[in-house]
Amino acid sequence: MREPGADWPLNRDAFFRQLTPRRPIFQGDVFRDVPYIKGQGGDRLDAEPKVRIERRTALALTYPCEMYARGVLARVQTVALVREGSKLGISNEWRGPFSACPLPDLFGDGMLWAADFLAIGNVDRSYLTEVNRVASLTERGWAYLRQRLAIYLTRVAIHLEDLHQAGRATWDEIELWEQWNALGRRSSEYQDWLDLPDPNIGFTRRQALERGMRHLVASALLGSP
Amino acid sequence: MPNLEPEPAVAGGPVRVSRNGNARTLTVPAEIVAVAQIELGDEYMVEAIDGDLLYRRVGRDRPRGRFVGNEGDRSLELPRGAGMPVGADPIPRALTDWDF
Repeated sequence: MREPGADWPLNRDAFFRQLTPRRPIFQGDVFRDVPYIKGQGGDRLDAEPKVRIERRTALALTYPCEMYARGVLARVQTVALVREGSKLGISNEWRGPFSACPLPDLFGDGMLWAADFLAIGNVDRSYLTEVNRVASLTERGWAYLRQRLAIYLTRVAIHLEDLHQAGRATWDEIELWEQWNALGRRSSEYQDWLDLPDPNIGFTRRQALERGMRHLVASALLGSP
Repeated sequence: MPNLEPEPAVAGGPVRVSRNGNARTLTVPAEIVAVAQIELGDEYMVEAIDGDLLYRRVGRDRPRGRFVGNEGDRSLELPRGAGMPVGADPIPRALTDWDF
């Protein structure tokens, strides 16, 4: 792994991976035309809010473990609106503001965009699909998103290396899930397959991922019927 | 908004940097060495921000975390000093209204 700061700020290729419909929906994925609900209140507690629904670009914010239940996307998902970096005042060095995560050249137009943590809301899962997905993060981009989230909520920076280590099993799980889908298997059956004890490994495949044995699980995936 | 932080274990103090040939040597007070778990040979990346020098620890000898729990409850427990307070937001935003 390269040292932190060696390639800072990140460019588009370092931050985003190539899109593929086989990739399960994952934290940090960006979607267009997501309905965002604003409930502007009046000056009194009993005033009914003025509700507006706008179709916006948004980033999936739910952590992967809460995003799915037994391989099925949970009905309610959390998103953060994506806005132009210039409107949020993001500096060239990405030092601030802490309430946003830069998304470099998100649309390939050379502009800096950002997920705005001050504009978070809930949407139905039906609006987060591979059809309207416009970007997915690399492992490094994902670590950076989590680092920015922690800074926003706690004002403490977690080392990217620690975030890589903490998220490694989850990242391996999603990568192999993508392979599972590429093999034409039923996506919803992957999680149950992970929880099966594997006689060639000695414990479940999920436990193998948690112990850093991705290669063994990958071999089991390619070798299983 | 004020930057709320827990009371620091040690007060911040001056750190002396001396030049030795092409290398610069940093002298760090023992209290800070203990709290930040600095070891001989640790490497830091130095960044100048608004007249201050910010040190970020790099290198393989950094204290590592350990996983606790299983599956959904599994988390990485980091050693003390692994997280770095970032201080006040250098680019604070105006109060949010509904016009975004």
